[in-house]
Amino acid sequence: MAFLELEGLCKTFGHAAALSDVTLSVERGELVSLLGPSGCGKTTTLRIVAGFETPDRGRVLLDGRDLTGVSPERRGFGMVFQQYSLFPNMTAAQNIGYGLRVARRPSQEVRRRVGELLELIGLPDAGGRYPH
Amino acid sequence: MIQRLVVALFFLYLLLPLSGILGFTLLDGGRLTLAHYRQSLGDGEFGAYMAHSLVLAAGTVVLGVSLMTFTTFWVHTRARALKPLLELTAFLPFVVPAVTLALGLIQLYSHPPLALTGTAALLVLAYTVLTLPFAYRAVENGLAAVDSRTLSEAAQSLGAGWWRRFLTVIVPNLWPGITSAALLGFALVMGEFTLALFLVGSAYETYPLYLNQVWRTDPKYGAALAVLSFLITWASSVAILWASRRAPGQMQGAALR
Repeated sequence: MAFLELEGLCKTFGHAAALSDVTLSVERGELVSLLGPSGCGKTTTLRIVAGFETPDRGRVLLDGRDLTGVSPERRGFGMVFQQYSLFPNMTAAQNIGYGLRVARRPSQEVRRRVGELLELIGLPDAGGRYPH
Repeated sequence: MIQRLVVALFFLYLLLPLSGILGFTLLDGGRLTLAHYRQSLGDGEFGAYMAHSLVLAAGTVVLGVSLMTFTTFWVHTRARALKPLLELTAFLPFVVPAVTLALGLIQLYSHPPLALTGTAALLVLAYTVLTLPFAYRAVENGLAAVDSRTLSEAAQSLGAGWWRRFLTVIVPNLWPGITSAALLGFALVMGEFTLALFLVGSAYETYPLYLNQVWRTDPKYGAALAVLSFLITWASSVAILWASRRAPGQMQGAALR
């Protein structure tokens, strides 16, 4: 069994069928792209994997565990949104560290990791700036 | 040219009654005097009833705005089907006349175990209902303006539960809307007359009731009290604005540590 399994996912919004019987296996470390015209169900599939939509039928399995009823905040999946949705009330550093703080990591570790990442993306001095 | 004329007329319309009342209080027999304002200094009732009104306004703002912010976000994220119902409910206070509302409340709350008639608590609850339309509009506009759904989902994918998202992401971004809701609610309560008269009367006399009572016996002092009420409400609004400018930063700081 693969690491991430989508089994027979179906989803309709009103009368429009967004997904019908989508099955996909992804191995750990594998890079997969979903390609297709707009409205073909890419976003819906990803939102079901992340837990923001519930499929009408089918299951999402991670490492053999059924995630279908698990809420998004308990799944531990990262998701990058189409609009980049930075939190406007937080600085760059606070935005980067949000997930770590939610996970209750010690503040020293958060500060170190945020510093590393700001360094990595070439914005070591922008940590105190706001998105807008 | 026309624009300026319109603006000038608008200000005239706003300021003429105020300047009229100001002149009435400052002039006595053709002489300029502050006597009617000095009168308030030795008037213990003035301070006491102003305090009543400020307490009611603060209580209403805190209760109404937190209730509406919480409920609106809850409906937004957890129960979208209820949105039309919330919208309708939030606007009901506009439709029901204050007298009707007061009589209904008296009817409902004058028997044990809910014998609240005549208490400040009932007045705060009634005012909370009265300010709901303003709070709802302000919060709802704020939620629409910041794309709260995506922000909330972004926080959720990072592991943040409902309360955490509400307090660290939604409330700080709704802050301008929350502030304007607070200002509207505050000003409304400071000038409210009908419900105060019916629900509590002399049991917890508010400033507008006192003003009305003074006005009948001593119009000059009554007018001075009206000007003071205007100034105090205005100063309180500035204070709320000032506090609210400072608050989001502090809140973030607190939430981050």
